[in-house]
Amino acid sequence: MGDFIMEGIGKISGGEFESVKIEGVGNCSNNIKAVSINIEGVFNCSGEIDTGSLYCEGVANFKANIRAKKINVEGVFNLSKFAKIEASEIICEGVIKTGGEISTDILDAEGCIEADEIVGDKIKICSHKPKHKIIYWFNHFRSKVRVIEATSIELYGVKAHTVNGKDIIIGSNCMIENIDCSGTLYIDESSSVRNITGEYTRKY
Amino acid sequence: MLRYGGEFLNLISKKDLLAITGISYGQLYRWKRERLIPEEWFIKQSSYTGQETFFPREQVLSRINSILELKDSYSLEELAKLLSPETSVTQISINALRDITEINSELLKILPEVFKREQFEIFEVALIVGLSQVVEKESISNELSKSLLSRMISPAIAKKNTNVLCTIFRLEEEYHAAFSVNSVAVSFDDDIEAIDQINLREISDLIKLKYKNLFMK
Repeated sequence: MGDFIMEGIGKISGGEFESVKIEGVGNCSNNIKAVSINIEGVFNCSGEIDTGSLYCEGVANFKANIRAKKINVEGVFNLSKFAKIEASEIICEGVIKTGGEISTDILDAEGCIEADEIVGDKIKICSHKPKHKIIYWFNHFRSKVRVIEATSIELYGVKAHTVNGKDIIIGSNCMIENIDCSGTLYIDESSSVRNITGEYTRKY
Repeated sequence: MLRYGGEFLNLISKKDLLAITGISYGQLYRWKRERLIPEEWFIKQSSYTGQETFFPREQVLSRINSILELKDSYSLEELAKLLSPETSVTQISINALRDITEINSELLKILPEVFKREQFEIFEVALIVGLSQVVEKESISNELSKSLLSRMISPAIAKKNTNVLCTIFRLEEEYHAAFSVNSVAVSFDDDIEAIDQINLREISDLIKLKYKNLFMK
């Protein structure tokens, strides 16, 4: 297993590597297995990714599933409709957009997440209100997820249809359709929640 | 009981599953990622809140009990090899089967002749163990058990997985078997006597746990 570095425009045919570094524009049509993958340019991949760590400071477009121990996104991470992300830890200060499921022990997002489902152990999504009003009027809520399900959940600036968990904090500027809580529940006064079910203790 | 795919299954909701087993969402999804709980067991059905997830009750409760018993002794990767059909050893030799005390000795002798080979997949081993239990419980003769096993091979191979329920029944003087998927029980008319049921998934899990050395690569 060797290292692969791409600095210009090129193609990677897939395979097993120690490390993969994309500093230019890279395209891959096959599966990649690596200890670490580092994307600082633009990376388009239609194969599956199986890696220890995945760092993205650039733009990455994936058409198939990603499986990693740790994912760090400071750029843009786009996955196609049915592609899923499985990881032990995901840190996002950029954008993650997928039509599929994100399954992770820990998600710590200060950026924007759009996903069908986010499931795991500790999920924290903090999407700030944009500084410019015009952006805010076009896009009230920065993160949109259909279902969030985890042991502990903390959300700010998130629009979600269903949130199920044990300990849930609905912070500012959230819009949630249904919550099912089996532990403690806090809802900020600036957020709206339509239905609440479960046996929980409300925190104020 | 809930309807899924045209059949009535004994399902348990995700919420009830977590409440009964005491596991957390985090554990459930970690075990799903590690393939300890198969993805196909997560059955989504429409509900008034949008969508709810259900699981085949007996299988998932049995699996979670196994995981909880073993998780302090094995890593998740080792547990996946033990419990997950996709990651465990797929071929067991006739010599290795001699170590499985649950297999009836007379059945063991005829296996190469009936199967026409000496390597067996995990679902076949589960079938042989299940049949051994029925043969001993019902005192079925060697001749009749050989005849039954010969008839069982083709439909078992056609199903080719452990998520299968095998119902043994008697019609006149002969024993027969019916196979159904997802552990759905088969109902017979009054002229047919159902003798016993072999749950391949349950037997497969028990055998893999008891004879770990045979099933871990």
